[in-house]
Amino acid sequence: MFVSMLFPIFLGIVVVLFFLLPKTWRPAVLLLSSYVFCGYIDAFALIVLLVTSVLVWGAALEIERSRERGAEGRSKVEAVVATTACVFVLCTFKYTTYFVQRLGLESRISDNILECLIMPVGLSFYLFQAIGYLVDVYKGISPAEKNFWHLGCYFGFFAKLVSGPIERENSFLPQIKKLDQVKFGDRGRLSVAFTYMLWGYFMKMVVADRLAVIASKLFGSYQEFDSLWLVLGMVFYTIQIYCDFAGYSNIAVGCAKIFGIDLVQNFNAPYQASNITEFWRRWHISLSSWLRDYLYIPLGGNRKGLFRKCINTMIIFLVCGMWHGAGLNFIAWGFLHGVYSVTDSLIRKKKKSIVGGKIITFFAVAFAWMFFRADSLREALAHIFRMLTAGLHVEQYNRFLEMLQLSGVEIIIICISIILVWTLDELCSRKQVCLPELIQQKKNTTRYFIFYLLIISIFIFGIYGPGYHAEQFIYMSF
Amino acid sequence: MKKPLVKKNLIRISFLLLLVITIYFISRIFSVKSTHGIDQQAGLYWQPENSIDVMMMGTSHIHCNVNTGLLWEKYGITSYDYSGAEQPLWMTYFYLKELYKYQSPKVIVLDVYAPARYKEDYQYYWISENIYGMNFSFNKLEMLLVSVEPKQLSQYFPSFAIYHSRYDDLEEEDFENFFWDGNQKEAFKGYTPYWNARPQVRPEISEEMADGLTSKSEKYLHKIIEYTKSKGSELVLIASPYVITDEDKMTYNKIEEIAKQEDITFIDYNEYYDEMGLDFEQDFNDDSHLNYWGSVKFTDYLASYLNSYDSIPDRRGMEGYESWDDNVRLIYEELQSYEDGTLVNWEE
Repeated sequence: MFVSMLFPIFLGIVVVLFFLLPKTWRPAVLLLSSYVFCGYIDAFALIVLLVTSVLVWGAALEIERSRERGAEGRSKVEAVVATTACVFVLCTFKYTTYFVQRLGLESRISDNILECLIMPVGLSFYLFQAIGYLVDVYKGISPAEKNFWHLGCYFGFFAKLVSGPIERENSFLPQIKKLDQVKFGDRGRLSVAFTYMLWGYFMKMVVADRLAVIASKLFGSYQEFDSLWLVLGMVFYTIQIYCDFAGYSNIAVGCAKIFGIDLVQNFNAPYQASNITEFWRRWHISLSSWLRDYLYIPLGGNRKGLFRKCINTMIIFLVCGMWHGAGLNFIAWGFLHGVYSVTDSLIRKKKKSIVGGKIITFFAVAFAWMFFRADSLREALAHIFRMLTAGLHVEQYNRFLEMLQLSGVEIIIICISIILVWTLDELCSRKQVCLPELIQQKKNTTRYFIFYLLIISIFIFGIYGPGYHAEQFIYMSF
Repeated sequence: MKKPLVKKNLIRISFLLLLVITIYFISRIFSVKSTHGIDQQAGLYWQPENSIDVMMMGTSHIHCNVNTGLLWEKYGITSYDYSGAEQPLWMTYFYLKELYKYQSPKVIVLDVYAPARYKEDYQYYWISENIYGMNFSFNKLEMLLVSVEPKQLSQYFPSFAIYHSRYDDLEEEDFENFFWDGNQKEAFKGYTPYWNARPQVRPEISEEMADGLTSKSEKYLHKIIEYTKSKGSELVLIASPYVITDEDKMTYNKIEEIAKQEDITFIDYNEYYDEMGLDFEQDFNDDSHLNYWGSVKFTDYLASYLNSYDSIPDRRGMEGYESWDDNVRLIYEELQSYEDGTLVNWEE
């Protein structure tokens, strides 16, 4: 949706309404516009969002009421029922279609029912928020939100609806309550927002979508290519998924900043991590921290000895894999990351540091992405087998280039964009700051010159327009 | 306190200016160039204002068959082939609205081959040729909304989204599209002759029924008639010579009926093959288009009709019309290249 030609128009209308209408209406403006946004993508997704928001709103109030009346048992039962219902809804949408297909039951179920079982937009993200919120209300960490406009925004705010980040109520809701204090001309806010969005669009349209075209061909007909090209395909997909998701997150953060809302940072130069634990502190931060707080720590975390820590780690990553999609390949991806993390814990327990940690971590993560990218576990294994055994066929490279429709200019653009993203991530990692903030720190002339280069690059080298259908944001389907 | 703000605003203005200028240059370079309609459409903007007396409109039957150089050289008529491949009447209507922003022609000659041959309400095959040369305006948006189904709109708008990825296909010609190339651009008057000679079977037409004009075409034909009347221009409907069919003729009969009701002229030049001296062995490029030599004969015959209008002056030798001399020179250069065997980029 962010790459749709209609999005700037939609955003422009929401900004005008937000700042022109009475300040007390602002949560309502954001919520209603978010529902328009969701309904435009899929009317059924809007119904699911609306029903979920209302039920969670009511359930949290009831849990809090029971707790305040001293009915701890009742409060606990209500919390368990509500969170189980969320997990049930999530699993139903995530797995029913998968099992129907696996068991060959498509012909016995009507198309209308199958259509209704397609994962609604953003469900995984706002249901995780709902579970976290219900648990926090039950534990008394956060009060139940009485104002539906506010809680509705927490679940449905359009900037983060499709692919997160997974926000926490205690950082998001206070900002919604203070929307009336946001001024259009607040010093630097719009400039920061613009920088985030511009960099996000660059990552998505110039880098991710360009690599997506090649990665799709390499993954789609892997039998045709030799080992080197399949390794390149693995690397391309690794960078694609990062630029796609981080690009989306930057656009989301930028959009939210226009309205004075700070979303959590989802990425912090993840491929600059020198071990897998560090990688997960830098990749999809809102998900990994959610899993840590609501699953890993309640399971005992690392407080019950090394063995339990390893088991908990494996559980976390298996759940993480299952959250990302239905299929053994996602479980294999999660399992692999679990094994990486356990190994890393054992190595670090012996306080051994590994030479070339960054490179090893990058290729370990890239290897795991192959399971993530494949259509099935069997396909992933076949692809990996081919990659390891095909050997080099230099004499066929011209044919490979033709198959991938890679011309000289295109190769140069790919090389420059990968080097650019890599170098800037390295720079940001060293300075401990994200790129848009780094750009903001520059002098006006330098900053505007960077804006200029980014806009022109997106204009010319962005992948958009007819004959080409922008790759959906990869994380939209989770 | 004020100084930093002034400096900041100066940087902002410089940034916007630099951005606009860069986008202008890359748009000029990257825009699609094509002699099947885009160049004719874009070429209008290079013409001196209010210099064109006869605007030739319609399909490729115009820019392949009407020799603007001959009209100037022999009759002193300033004309321009403002047409596009298979252009339907609803697009012609918005072309008309566009051209009156810059020109006030005395006569509009409109070829009605498209409504006779193509009956769909949305015609996509050559539509790009009729879109990408037009500057952005609400008129263009309206044209798109009428010509393209809503779900297809993003396939054609905005134009830059379509041609921005041409960075790998740029040619020398793409870098000759700036204001300093104005004289060269002005000399192009839309005429793009074909150079093949392919024998055709002379059609024998007996159709007398009047029918086959779709309601969308009829609606826009009436709008065109009304619009040209409101602008004070004479509208002349024509069917230029080609290998006509009975089905086409049926639609021409219907158009002729409408023309009579509206008191405007309709001429089917397929009834005057002998009068204009068309040779079906030598004068056709294909069954739909004349070649250069056929276009010379047809244009000459058309000019004899146009000459009957007192409102069309002989402008030879007048100041401000030198670009038509250049147009004649360009056409002769192309003819010379053909005769020398050095003509490039023509479809054999």
